[in-house]
Amino acid sequence: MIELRQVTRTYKMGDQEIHALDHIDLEIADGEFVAVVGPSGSGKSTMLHVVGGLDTPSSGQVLVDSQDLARASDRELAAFRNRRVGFVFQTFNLQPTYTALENVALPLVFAKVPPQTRRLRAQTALEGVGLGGRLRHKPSELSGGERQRVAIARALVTDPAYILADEPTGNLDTATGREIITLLDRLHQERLITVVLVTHDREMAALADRQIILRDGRIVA
Amino acid sequence: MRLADTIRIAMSNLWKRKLRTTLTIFAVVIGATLIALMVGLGVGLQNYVTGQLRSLSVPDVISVEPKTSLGVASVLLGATGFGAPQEVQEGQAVPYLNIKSLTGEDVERIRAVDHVDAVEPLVYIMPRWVQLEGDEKKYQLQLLGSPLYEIRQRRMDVGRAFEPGERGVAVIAHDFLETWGWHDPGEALGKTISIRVPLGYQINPLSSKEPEGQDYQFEIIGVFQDSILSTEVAVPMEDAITMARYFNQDNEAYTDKNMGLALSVHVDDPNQVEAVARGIENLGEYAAETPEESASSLAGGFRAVQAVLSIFGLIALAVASLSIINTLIMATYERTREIGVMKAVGASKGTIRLLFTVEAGSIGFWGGLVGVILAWILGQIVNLVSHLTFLKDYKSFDIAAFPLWLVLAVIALTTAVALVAGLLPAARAANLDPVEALRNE
Repeated sequence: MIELRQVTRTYKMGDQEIHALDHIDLEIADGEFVAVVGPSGSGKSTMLHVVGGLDTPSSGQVLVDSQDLARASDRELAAFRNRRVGFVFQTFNLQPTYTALENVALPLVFAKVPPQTRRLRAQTALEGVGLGGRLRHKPSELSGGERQRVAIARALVTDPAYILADEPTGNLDTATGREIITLLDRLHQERLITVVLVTHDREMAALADRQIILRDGRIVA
Repeated sequence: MRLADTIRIAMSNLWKRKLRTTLTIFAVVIGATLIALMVGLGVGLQNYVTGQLRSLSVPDVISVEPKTSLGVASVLLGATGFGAPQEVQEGQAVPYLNIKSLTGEDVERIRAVDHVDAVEPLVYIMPRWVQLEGDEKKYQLQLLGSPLYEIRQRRMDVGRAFEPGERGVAVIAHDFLETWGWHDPGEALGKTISIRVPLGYQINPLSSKEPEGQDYQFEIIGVFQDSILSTEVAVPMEDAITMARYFNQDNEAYTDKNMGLALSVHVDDPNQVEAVARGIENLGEYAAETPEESASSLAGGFRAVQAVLSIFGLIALAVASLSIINTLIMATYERTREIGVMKAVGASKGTIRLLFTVEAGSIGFWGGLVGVILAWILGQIVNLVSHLTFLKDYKSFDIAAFPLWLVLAVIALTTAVALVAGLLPAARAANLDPVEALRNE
């Protein structure tokens, strides 16, 4: 269960204060598939980062399974990102020198999982996204869709309760993008993972259980 | 993160930029090699000298001198006329130092200290030469009057020490064997040598006239083991005193009135040497030095030389640390996005900091290791060349020595320097904002 209470995130840009998030109140139930839509600069990504413990709010409470991320230490946030959530980014963010297997195993390295188990779990995760035959390939040897599936496998490998996807289809053509969203939807249905999808694509957002519309850091619908 | 993973990832990160990493390590290698080589040379030299000193000095004998607050500087200052001229006493040994000769009274006071077995003067003579009977050639020598307790503990190739009351006998340095063409040390025994003692100090470079002197005959009864005292001739105390009285033209030399400037004190229990030395110093008027102290004061001198030589290595290491800082800061720029990803999938600040610290430490470790190996190779070359040239006669002596402590210390030093150099880049990397880092192209 994710709860945002009066969450504000302000940035300083020169003399100007920018309210990326402006007193947001939001609840996302376990097992929900939520799409966050809105124009660019509306605070979608910031909200995702705050929910994922990658960014801390300027004020307010971010409760994930009753843990207040706004007050968590760096170490607690790292552990939270490692075990409770999985991020999927628009630009995939894979390590170019690592193979698909090594990329997927990376979160397990920080979770102190022994190498043997790591390989096994990474392989299972890759097979789960249909890349069982691409284990030893480096990102440069994979197509865009395949890269994003590696990133999804990496997000899934620690068995998180939440997948936070930030414009996962932004760098993909429409057909491939739809495949990725379908994959996320399938994972959500099969594994009861809570998915928060940030997108500006209404068509993709339509696949979600619920849509949240942000504008200028506020929820408008 | 597990330690093995930390090291593996750090190594693979370093190895992604092979040339840059190699160059950075090479900078450390230069510093490490210089330090290891310089200290190694110092250690070799120190081993040699202290080893020699140990083989020469007798562990239960303390040397005692009158305490003086004035050092060599006052000799120079006194001589160049700083301050009003000081009064000179008749019979005063060294006017500028204001040192009084020791007396029989001093000997009695020292003898009364617990565990003191015997006190003898250190008899100092400057002989002109030594001649082997039947040989025209004259050779230089260092003449020492040796108390029985001392000569009995010295190591000899052949022969024996003096007996109590025995006179007219001598034990000679090993190197005289070559001088007089004896292949077997045994050949020296029973031969007669003649030592010329001049009348008083004869340091007059303007005079080519041979000063007046007297010859003293001795039978060789022993040959010392090879040592740095390569011209040493030891004779019984009584003989030495006789010669010293002639030399000084003073029949009261080495009597209760004047026991010279230094005494040799024999301790009856080897475990009490330190205590006796402090006991003598507590009398208030004397400075006492145990063999251990003379060895360590000599070692201290060598350490000072090593320190000076090592400064070059330390400078090189300081430059290398800048190179490490540069390398790792470059790496934080290059890997900004990668650091962002690591944070997104669960790396804490501490983990990132550790990763960069290990990278820094590895550069120092490998630089130190390669540097020590290089210094060892150079040291072996120095040893080889020295054995072929100026150390021909001392094949057992390695001028460059690399004990384990030196190897470990150099590697520890380079690693520590690198770790310190890594602090700033590691903190930079750890404090990167993950959101910003992920946006980085």
